[in-house]
Amino acid sequence: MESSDNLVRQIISKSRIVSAARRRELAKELSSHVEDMADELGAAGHDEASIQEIVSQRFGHPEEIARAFAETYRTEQIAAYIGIVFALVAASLVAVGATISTIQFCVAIWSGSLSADLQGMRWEFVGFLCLTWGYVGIYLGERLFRNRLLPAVTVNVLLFLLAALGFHHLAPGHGSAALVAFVCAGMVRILQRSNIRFIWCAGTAVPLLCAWLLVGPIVQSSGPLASWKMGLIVWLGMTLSCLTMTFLTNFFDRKMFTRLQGS
Amino acid sequence: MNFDRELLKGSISLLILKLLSEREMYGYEIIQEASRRSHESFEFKEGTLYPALHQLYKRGYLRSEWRLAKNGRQRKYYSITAKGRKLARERQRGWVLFTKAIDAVLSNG
Repeated sequence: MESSDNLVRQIISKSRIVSAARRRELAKELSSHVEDMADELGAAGHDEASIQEIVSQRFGHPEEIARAFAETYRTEQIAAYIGIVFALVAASLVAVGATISTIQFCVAIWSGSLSADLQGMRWEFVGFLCLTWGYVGIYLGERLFRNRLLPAVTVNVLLFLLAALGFHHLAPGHGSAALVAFVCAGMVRILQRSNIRFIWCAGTAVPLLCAWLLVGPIVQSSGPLASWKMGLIVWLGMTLSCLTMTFLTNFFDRKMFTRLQGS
Repeated sequence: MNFDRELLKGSISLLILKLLSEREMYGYEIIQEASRRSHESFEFKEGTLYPALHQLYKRGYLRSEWRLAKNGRQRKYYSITAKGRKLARERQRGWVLFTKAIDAVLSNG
């Protein structure tokens, strides 16, 4: 009965049913059906090979059945997909915030200006958000557009510009830092597609350098740190944040999205 | 006899609801019963039956329960709900009207 078990396994694994309990129950139901069928065919004088052949014929193509189940449970799949996207965004936001805050905290202790450097950062959350958007947004776009980079980038840039317009009215003067954070993370994601190892580190360096040349340092130190040191810290913070998001997206890709697509 | 697959697919929920409105059954039993009643003209494929059963269950037209059979095997029995009975009646009425209309067109041809 190994091939019948395999048939049931194939149907379940490609069915994209989200709930593990439901998958188990369906497997049990189909297996019980196959056993009933095998008993009847066996009683009618069919041998093992012939039973397997009839079972496969009667069931039809496993992918086709799995597609029918996927259609049945589509609402749950969409809900799960949205849930995973929210979880990824939230986890990335927390990871970015934690990474950058840790670096700032260490630098502030090292430079002896803890209170001074932690002041005036009320808009920093927006920076975390834009950094997360740049990276995770393009990653999600790639998923949505079947790994095509151009539509993924275009949609994100257009949405970001729209949001930036609103943000510019709410908080004039903080737009450049937000834009640089978005561009840096986006560039990292794009460069990660290249085969050249560590080239993605330039994704944060180049936009930061350009911003420096065009409008000056995007984050000013309120403590005794020289602005070039502050720039280096910003680069380190953004780069490590992007690295954290790389691990996170890889994890979500392997453990969550792949399963949802039907393994 | 081999019916058009799409035609059978479109009427499968009516057949399931009708069979289950008489008594509760498990998947394999539904296939056998449909085959017996149609003098083996209908041969539901499992790949058509189970997604349809799950769809009807999900929409609240059926309920299900696991039970132990005499041979020690667990089987999932499906039974119809009040909502399902109502749908079965509506679908049957629709089907009768539909076949009458088709017959009328064909006989006047």
